[in-house]
Amino acid sequence: MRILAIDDEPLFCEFLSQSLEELGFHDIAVAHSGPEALAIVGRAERPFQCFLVDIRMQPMDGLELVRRLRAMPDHRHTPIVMISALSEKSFIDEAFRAGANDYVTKPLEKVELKARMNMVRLILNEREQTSLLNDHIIESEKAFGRSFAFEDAILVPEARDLTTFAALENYALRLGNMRLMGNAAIGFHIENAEALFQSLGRVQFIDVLVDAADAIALALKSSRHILAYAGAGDFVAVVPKARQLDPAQLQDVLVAYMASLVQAYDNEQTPLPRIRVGRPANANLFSLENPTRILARAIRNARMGSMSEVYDQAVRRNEGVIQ
Amino acid sequence: MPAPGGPEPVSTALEAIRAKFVASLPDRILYFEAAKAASARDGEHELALRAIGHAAHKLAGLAPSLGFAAIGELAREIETAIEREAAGGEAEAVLQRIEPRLETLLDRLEDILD
Repeated sequence: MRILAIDDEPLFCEFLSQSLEELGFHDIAVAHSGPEALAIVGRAERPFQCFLVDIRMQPMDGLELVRRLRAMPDHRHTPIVMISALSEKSFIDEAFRAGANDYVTKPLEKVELKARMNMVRLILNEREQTSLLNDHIIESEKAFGRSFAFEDAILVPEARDLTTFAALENYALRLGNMRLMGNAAIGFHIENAEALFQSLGRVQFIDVLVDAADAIALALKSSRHILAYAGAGDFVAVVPKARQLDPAQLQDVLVAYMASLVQAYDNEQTPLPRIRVGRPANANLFSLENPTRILARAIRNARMGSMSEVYDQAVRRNEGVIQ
Repeated sequence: MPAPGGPEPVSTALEAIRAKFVASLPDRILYFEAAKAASARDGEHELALRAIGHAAHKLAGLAPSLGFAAIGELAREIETAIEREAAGGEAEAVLQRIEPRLETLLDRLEDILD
């Protein structure tokens, strides 16, 4: 694994490199500032496969560096682990929103670093599958030996502002129930996803997912959210509870957005995806449940049609456009 | 072989990094002293505060990772105090309030060198 570690304290870089070496990672480059890191990335012959980024650096802080890395096509999905001296929720939120997949705190503990690097491996495996998927899928879907199933939480290529489901689960897990209290999870279910998957095949189904992701991101635009595709036509986002998102408004935007695509779908003789928003799920402070259960509950709410009256109203408002 | 659950043995490489850290202490002390001196000059309070805060931040992350927990804790206190107070206070007043802790930190750093 090719790793670039960035921290403006040279001795910490040295310590981090040494710790990674001891964990079995040997292809490590270091940079001592954001601009230096961007220069190294720019002239790298092979893309880096993982970045470890200190949050607080000067003159460019780690969050800005992550945003710039994410803007590069090669690194839209490269695992990024933030290194933070602080584990306050605001820092973690900022890091995940900027596009980080995980974080590790200083002082650096080897066991902690090992756990985070295991997470990186998981993301890389997902990414490799998607990459193989894309390579093969373009040539011929039939020749595509390594298929993905309808239920798979694939990394949707081309969809902006979408993280992997593994990263979102990790976010919930790392925050824990206590710190998740200020957040809610909202699920979105493409009601006719399975039928679309069966009739369109994988290539076009991915296009449907991209459209759905764009619609959901637009609906959540006013809220600082982290969104992922969970497989089986389900999306889930974590949003701040204080925003009091109105599911009816979200549903309106979703229906209106999809209605704007009706012509394109008609041209392809493809049914329009029907995206339903679910009732938000909240963390339960006194529960011993795994923090990731909030995501599952949000998805279940969307699947169960917990807000079906809201969906029906939104469709009625777009009557004549949506069948 | 360490006892189960006990600390891992310190590698030679880590020892070398610790030695470099100790060798870097005179420069770090001088940096803090220079920032302190600047903080006494009009118009430089804020810059000095930022410099102290950033140097403390770096020390707070590095020192405990290398086994200097007490240094890390002191540096973290200074960093946190600067962050917390700088949001609502005058830089000069903040500098005065953190000075005792900064002095303690500098003493501890010098102790390591002795």
